[in-house]
Amino acid sequence: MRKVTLLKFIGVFLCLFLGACGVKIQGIDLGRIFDAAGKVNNFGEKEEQEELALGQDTIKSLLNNATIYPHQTLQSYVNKVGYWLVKHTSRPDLPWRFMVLDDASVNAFAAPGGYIAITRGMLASLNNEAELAGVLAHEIAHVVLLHHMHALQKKSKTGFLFDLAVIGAQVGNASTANAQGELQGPDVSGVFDKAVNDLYYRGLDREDELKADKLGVILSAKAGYDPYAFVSVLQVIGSREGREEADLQRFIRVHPSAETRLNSLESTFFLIDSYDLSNRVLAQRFRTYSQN
Amino acid sequence: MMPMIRFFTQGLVQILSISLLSTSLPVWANQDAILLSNTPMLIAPSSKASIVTQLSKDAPVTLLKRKGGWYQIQTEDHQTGWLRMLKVRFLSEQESNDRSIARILRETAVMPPASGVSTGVRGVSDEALNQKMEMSPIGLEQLKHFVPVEEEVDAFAKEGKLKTQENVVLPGK
Repeated sequence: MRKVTLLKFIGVFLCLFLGACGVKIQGIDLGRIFDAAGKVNNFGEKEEQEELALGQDTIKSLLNNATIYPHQTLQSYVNKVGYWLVKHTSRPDLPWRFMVLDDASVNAFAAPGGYIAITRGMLASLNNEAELAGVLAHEIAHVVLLHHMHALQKKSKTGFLFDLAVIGAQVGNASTANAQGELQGPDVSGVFDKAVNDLYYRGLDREDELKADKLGVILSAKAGYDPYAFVSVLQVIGSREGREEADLQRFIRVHPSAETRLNSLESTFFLIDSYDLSNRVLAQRFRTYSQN
Repeated sequence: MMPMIRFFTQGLVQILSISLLSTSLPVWANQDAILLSNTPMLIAPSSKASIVTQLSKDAPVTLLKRKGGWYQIQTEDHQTGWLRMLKVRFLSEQESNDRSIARILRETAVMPPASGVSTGVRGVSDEALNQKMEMSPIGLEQLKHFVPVEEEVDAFAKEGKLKTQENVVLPGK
């Protein structure tokens, strides 16, 4: 208890100090974080602020080796599908950003705060809008369920109270700051980058993937899409597992096997089958938007 | 002799595969698969439909089309019917090719079009995507320009006849 009180005191002190200085580490506004640290009773708001900051840094880190696909029609189309889906989630007001990456490999991923990326290789492997919705809904589910956020906090030990201790220690050790107020030297940047690299190289916990599958399928169905389209996607990927295909290596490494995922979805589809659904597939629209 | 036949049939399979790249068939159309368990093949995509025949675990089938959670399939003896989607496992391209070759050797007949070689067929080809590139680079900050306003999203949904399914309840909501 005394430890918590001491950390709160440090937080309030650093809030005043860093807020005045406008210091940033990895783009995270420490002034804002420590300002939020004073609002211990308003943990949800603080967590969302931290999520947005972490998400921005995560996507920047991930895009160091990737390019956003310069096809405005396609980007706009994917955003419309994505925004129609998120409208049906519990977090419609996040600043969602959907993007197609100029990458021939088959992959899709999410970052905290509402960043969803899908490669053009994945798009090329899909047949219709319902399949696209299924893939996006799976990634949206990761964000809604805070999977990457919690994994990054765990890996980089940047949980709420750890923030104050770790970042506070780094501020104490830092000796210089650049013109933008970003701290230089051996700070938490290294810890953060390592956490991002580890997470996106190894993938989330298997249980998180299976939970995102279930929520994603139900979300697709709620938005009016054919939820079985996602089964099709997994079955095609499953038929390619076990082969040394370069374009699938990353996807396979960070996800449970398609067989495991399909087995896990059986109970969800038992529930889905009890609904009378509209099951829209929209193959023609998918082709029109993605080929023009 | 056998290696020559294998070489010939593999070539035939590859030629048919290439010719399919220009089609817009779904990735899984004419996909070869096997059954994960004993299951009835039904006359229509409904659990209330009558049974055409009972199929055994590991029986090879070819998928023809999909409707909701059902695949229309063809058995090796050319019977057609419907199965639940989750009852099948897709064969890999190698397994599928081997099966096609075995079929050719067994039947010594003309291979049916598109049989078992379509896993390379894609809805949108890489080539099509590359040809249509609009070359202005897009930065992370510019992504906000693609965010649709609510009215655009609703119009997009209406155009696709997408309607919120009020009876579906999201877990934890």
